[in-house]
Amino acid sequence: MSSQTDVLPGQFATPVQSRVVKAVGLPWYCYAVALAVACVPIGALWDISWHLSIGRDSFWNPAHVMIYTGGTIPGFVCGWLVLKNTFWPDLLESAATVRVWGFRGPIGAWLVIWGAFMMLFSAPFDNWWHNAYGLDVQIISPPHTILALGTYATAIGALLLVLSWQNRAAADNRVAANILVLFACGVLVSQVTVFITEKSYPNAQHGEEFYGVCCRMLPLYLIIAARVSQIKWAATWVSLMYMLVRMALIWILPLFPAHPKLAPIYNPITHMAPPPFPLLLVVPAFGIDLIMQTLGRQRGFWRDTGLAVLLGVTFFTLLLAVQWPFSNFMLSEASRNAFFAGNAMWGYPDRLGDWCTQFWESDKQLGLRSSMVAIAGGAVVSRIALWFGNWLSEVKR
Amino acid sequence: MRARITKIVLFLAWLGVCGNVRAHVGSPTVFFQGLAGNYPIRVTIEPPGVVPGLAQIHVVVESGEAKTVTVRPVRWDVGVKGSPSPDTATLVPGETNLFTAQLWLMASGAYSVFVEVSGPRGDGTAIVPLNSIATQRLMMTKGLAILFAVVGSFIVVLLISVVGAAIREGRLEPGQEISPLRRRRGWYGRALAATLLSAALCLGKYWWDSVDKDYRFRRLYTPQSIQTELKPNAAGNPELELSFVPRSRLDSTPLIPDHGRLMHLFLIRDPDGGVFAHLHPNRHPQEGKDATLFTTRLPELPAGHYKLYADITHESGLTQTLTNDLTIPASPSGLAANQSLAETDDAVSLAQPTVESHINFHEGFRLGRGFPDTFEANQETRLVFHLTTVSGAEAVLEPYLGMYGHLIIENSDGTVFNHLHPLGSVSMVSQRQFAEREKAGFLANKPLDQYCTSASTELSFPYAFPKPGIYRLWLQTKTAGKILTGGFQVSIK
Repeated sequence: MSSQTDVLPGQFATPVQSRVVKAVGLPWYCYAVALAVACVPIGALWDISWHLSIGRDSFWNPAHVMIYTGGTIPGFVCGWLVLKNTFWPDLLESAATVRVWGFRGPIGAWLVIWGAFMMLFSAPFDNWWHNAYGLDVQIISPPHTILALGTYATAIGALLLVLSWQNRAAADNRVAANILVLFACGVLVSQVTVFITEKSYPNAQHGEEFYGVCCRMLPLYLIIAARVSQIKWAATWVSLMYMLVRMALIWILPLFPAHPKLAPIYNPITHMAPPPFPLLLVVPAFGIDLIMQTLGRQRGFWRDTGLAVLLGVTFFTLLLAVQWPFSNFMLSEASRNAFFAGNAMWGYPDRLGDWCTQFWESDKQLGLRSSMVAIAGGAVVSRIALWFGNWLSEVKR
Repeated sequence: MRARITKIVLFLAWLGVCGNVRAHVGSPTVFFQGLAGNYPIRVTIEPPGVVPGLAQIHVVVESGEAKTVTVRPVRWDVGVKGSPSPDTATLVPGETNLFTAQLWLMASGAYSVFVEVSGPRGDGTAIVPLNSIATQRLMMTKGLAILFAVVGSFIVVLLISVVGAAIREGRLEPGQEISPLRRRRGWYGRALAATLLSAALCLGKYWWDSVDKDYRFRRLYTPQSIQTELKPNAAGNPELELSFVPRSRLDSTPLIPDHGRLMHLFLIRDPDGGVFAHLHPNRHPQEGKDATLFTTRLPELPAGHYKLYADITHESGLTQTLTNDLTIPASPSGLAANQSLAETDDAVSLAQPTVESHINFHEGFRLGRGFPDTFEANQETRLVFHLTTVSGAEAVLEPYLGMYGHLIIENSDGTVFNHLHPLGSVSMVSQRQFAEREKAGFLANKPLDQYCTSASTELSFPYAFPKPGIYRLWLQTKTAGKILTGGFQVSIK
């Protein structure tokens, strides 16, 4: 096998490296897929705002189109990629693919295709569901879950696509892939936070459920980012991306006039409702980065297990330290401005009252036992994230 | 145009919207004919089978050139102030006076549709109350189930294959051969993925079942049962006690009188329909004003098994028909039969509904039907009756319970029951409630306006029979101080 010094920029340290290949940059389809999947969380937040502000919609409303764009464009691109690698293979590119049912494509492409199928399948199922049980009686329903799983798969596929390129590219030819890896992780974190919107209102941030849900859902992609990224402070960058996207929507959406089109209207709003202010995820993410950079460089089953416990405790502690006081602020008069948009996320079906500025479920406040449960959940998820991150950091195809 | 409406109604029926119940039983479509300002209009509303869902609305402007017709959904607790701006109904292509629109009903309870007509005769508004209630349980068609199963299986198998391929080849350098060990690991990966996916599918099925169960037992409206008890009153005569427990999640507002009565009770002998009674139980005197215990002296009725339907109206405007069965023994509890009706507006008919085209009453009147004895189901029609003297002279109609005519429709298996007026199937008191909440009482139809009577002795009721079967129709009207009840039988195909 040739030594690393024989490898030209853009070539692979592989059995095919002896072949004469030209230096290549990150292929266009990686950009296309990674950027397209970002449409999903942005479209989802827009859709939620649409439902709270206007109410009436159709399958073809702009927010829905944006969400489905985030599935169909990557789906078509990856479908093309599979067909190309199967029927018109390029020697270098096709060597970095896996075989499924006789077709060849990168793992990420296959996952994107699977996610796109899930998203498409969810549409007629959701339509039937509306006819059977009413329009979106619950946001978290079986067809919506299929849609969400499809969007996650698409985003994870995008991550795999750029990650495999990053993992096999030469050191000086992977900057774009490094950035896109963080970008894809940011998309995944944004998607998760959309899915837990109902559980993460400021009013819920003194409750045990909020901390339990956050510890089970959020560390996954932050830790994966920290483990697979070749950029320092990866989790911090990812959380910043999530926060900036959310804040941008908070500032942009209310600029657009909107009037409810469905009755009953309990809250006659006049502009698009913004989403709640983002979680201050940058703080626990910074903690994760710090630990990963000091204690997480080496790997091993027991080492990673101990690390997971530490990450679970750290994530919970830092999240509690920032969200507990910050939620007090968000429920106060001081947050009612254009920057924080406190108490502004309510939609036309909400009967405004004291409950809007109070903490909910006072009988289920966070206590010692529920803290332990949240930490345990966080530790388990962190261990899964480290295991999955280890595998991802070795993916070459 | 009627054919066009018929097609629309048929289409809606095909969609399976015709579900179980509205305020009435098994006949959810709302019919209204009345005035919107200076425009006589007919409105048909097909409420959605589920809530939230889309209501289909058709408006026929019978005279006057309407320029625009708008519709607006108004929920009882927020009124027009809490309603969106009106939607413009579109003129059906090829028609000159048939407009159609769709409106979302987002919450359960009492709603009304405000129909506004504009044109050369000025602007006018009509209020059409309706119940927003989930009445439909949609079953998946076999074709759709097969399609979902095939696509679902494809998706599951694809994921298993992708997981297997990822484990088998994912970490290999490009171009590197796959070792037997990796091939084995690929199969282990497939097995693990299949196991996890099977568990996920089982969890999904459990979730779906629990949603369905919640829908069936909590959200789907089924006719509420009313409890009955036959017992002697203080005078030793048989008295019928009726009680029910209000479903607070549906409507907790108090009951209000419709046509001056809190409850309209109909007893129809099952299965022949040979006995019909329209009674008006009163709230039990010893109970509070919000009590749901009602009593009435039971008139002398032939022994037998009876279907019982009790119409009530809530302050919100929601109307309900409570149902039950009642067996009347040959001699109720061995008691002496009541010789007279408890209330002056109670009425009993002991005549078998007829398939003939007219009925001669021994009081000297003749009631004729102006429609055939067979119909197509879901065909919108007007059920027209003529009351004359036996000699053919016009009979002078008198108000009975505030209207000139009441039409009670029941199919032979008791799955359809409806109480209509010439105004349609809407409750007039609901209409008035909505109008008064808007401080626009003038929008409510007057009890005896032109749609509740006619210069002649013709009574017309808009209706569409919701499904095939044998139906009985009892027309109740009043003339010469006597309440007349005439029963007809029609066959619906």
